[in-house]
Amino acid sequence: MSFATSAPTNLSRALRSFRAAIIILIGAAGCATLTGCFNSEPYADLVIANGAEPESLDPAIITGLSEMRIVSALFEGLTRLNAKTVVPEPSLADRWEIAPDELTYTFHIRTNAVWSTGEPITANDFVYSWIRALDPATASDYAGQLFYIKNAEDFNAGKIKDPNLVGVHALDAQTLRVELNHPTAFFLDLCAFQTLAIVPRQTIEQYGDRWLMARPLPSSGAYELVSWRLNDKVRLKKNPRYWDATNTQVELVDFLPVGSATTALNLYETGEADVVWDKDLLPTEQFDVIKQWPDSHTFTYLGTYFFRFNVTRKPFDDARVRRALAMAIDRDRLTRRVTKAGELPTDHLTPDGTANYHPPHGLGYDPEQARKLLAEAGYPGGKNFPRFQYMFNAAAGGAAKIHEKIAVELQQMWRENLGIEMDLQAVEIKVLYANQSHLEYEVSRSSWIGDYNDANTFLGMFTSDDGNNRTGFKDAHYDQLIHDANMQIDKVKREELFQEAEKYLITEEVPIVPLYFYAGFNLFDTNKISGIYPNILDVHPLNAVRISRGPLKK
Amino acid sequence: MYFLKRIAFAIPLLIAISMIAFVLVRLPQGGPFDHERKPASPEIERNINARYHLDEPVWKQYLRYIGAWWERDEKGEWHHAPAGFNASLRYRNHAVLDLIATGLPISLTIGLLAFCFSMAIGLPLGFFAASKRGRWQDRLLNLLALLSVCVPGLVIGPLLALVFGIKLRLLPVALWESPVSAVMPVVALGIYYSGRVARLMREGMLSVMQNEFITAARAKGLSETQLLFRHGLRLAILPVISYSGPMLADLLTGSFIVESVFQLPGLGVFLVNSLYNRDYPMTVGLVLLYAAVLLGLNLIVDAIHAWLDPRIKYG
Repeated sequence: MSFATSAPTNLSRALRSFRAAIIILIGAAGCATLTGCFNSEPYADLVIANGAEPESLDPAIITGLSEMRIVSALFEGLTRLNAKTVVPEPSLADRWEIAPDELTYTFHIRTNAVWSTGEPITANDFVYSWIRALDPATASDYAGQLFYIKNAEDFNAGKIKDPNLVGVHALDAQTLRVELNHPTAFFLDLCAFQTLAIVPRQTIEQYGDRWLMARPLPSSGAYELVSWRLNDKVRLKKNPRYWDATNTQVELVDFLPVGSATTALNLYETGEADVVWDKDLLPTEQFDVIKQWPDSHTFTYLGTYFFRFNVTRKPFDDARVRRALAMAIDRDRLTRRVTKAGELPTDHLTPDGTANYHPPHGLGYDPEQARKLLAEAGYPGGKNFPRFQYMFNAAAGGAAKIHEKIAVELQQMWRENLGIEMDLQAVEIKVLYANQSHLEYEVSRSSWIGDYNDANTFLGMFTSDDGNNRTGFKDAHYDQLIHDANMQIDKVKREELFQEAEKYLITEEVPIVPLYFYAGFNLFDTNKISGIYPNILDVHPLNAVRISRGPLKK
Repeated sequence: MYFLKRIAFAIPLLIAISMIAFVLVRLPQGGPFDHERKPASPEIERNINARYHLDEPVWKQYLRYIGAWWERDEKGEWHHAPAGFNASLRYRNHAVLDLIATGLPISLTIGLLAFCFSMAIGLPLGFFAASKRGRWQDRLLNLLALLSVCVPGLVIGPLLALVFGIKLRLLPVALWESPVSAVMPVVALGIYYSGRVARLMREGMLSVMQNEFITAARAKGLSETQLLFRHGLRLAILPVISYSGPMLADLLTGSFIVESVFQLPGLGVFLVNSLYNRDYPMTVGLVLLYAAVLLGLNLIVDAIHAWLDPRIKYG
């Protein structure tokens, strides 16, 4: 038994080494924990649970709401949105003149406008920033927000190489002239949009793609970027050189990216977060309870939940079928049973409260008429109607779980009211978008959040060539109405044209069926925080927020 | 020599893994820049795809990715195309390596602590259970080990947060701010592995104790404690050591569930989200990291094996 005799020495050596290894591991982990990993920073005055980790903080790159909330505090444009009314008000431009034909805008830049690093802000900063957003090399997703400007689209497409041909010019350091393709009633709203905000040229030219890591980072808004750690936090501090710094109160703000709904709620309940920006961050299962809290604030905002028909596929190529399906839906049931956060059921696409617009009524709940239409289309009582698929993005939990619940309700209503059958087709979100773009679906869920406070952001998307059409719906009459409305300077006539177009879209052709308007939702204690106003864009400028207590005590 | 060969073999293996991963991540429908909102013109999409070379055939993208691509500029001169592995398609201002470098220390810390936690809990309990084989202590520990293996972090994490964070207010519910922030994530992550380790340790002990040399040692008059500690433990720990390689690899590269429940900026969240976001370079980068860690740890585990068990010889 050679093993038995040699064992004790080897064994004790092995055990000693093993113990030593474990001690070293614990020691190493302990040291790592205590040294590099934690950041001893002062507590922020205001902590906001903000949603997904920002893709970027570059105004030309960002597309999501959670990014815009941060970026709008850092980089500002000619105008900014009023915190209460979301009407554009003077920002870096303190005044402007609009030519009678509404094709030329002349902006005057504030003389006291400076970057957070002290350099003056001039008209050239606007020319640079807008051309940069349009430059094909920047690859900006939202470059379309600038396409209202003369030659902007051609420059972005590479058809024009000379940026001087684009309709934005600095007449002198303080004056900016902008020429548009056609009258654009919402152009001042667009000027407050992040894509049109100004960014620091020198920093960008020096650091390239990594310019946001530069410190100090020159900012043009009410706040400066202190730090940005992925999946951890974005920290901002008040920019003392902001032109309206006297009206900005909160010094230090943290934006937390929150990935899980229960986490946002936990953070709020333990006082680690002061504000939860929206409903998607909270568990829907607990929403019945949460909405009773005095800290919950709900309001209607510029977002519509709807579904699309692929009008190139049978039987949905028949408008009567589409109308029948639309009229067989009891929308009250959806908001009462599924969404629960005070969403308003709707039969029209453009939300009530959109600026300068009163939406027309669409197809209400009328199962009798729906059955009649379906019979006319050749499917009496749903006979011979092909089984079809309803595509939506699936989620294990959280707010996106709603899509499945809505699909189940629709399935039931169509079965009960029309005698037709559909299957639920749950896919990953990127797959849904790809299928919608390639018209690889029959019926699919959708939603739209308005980019600016105007009916065009909703109605313009169903013109034949719009990339967001995604239904196969092509209609010359509709295109003409939208075109005419956008050419119209007279506000009343413009509204009438839009109304006619919307009526046509939602009662005659019905490539889409609106279900309800989103409810905006903020969670915060009004005893501690004020200046967050419910508004239709769900925009809450940081410089308007007020807190009535010292830094968080933990 | 044997280990040198293993290391040399790891390099082509990693290249093969990168190729497979590079192709696989591109198979699902939908690209990194498909959003709810389509850009205003097809040219915008074209610009974005051109910027990230998504409009090129996959083989070309791969060569570019590993930095083995040269292209001609307008003047007809050849230029080396910089390696494409370092640009995240989701976080467009960040390099993949930077993202990994920020997430890795956190995942390492949590992972190592969880490893120590599960060893510190699992080894003694497994040993104790084996020594009390068949008695009530053994059965109780078995049940606990089974429970810890069956209840997922998805349940344990929020449960811990609810009890210690919200009800008792003893520990922070989430975020990465101070050393106490690590306590709940470590427990949530480690408890599963401590169950696994305890069971492996117990089985290892039991099978070793049935060996002939144990009977011989017992016949020579060694006490039961001496038997267990001196002769049993050394071999009984081998299954745990084999398992600790993949276990450590799992722990070190982060856990999506624990990281998202406790809002930790580690790597696990990146891996899962990069898949959903179709952030191809990020996914491939993390897959390679995971593969390298796994290969490295397996090598170390085999070395420890050879050193602990004289019956094992590599060559």
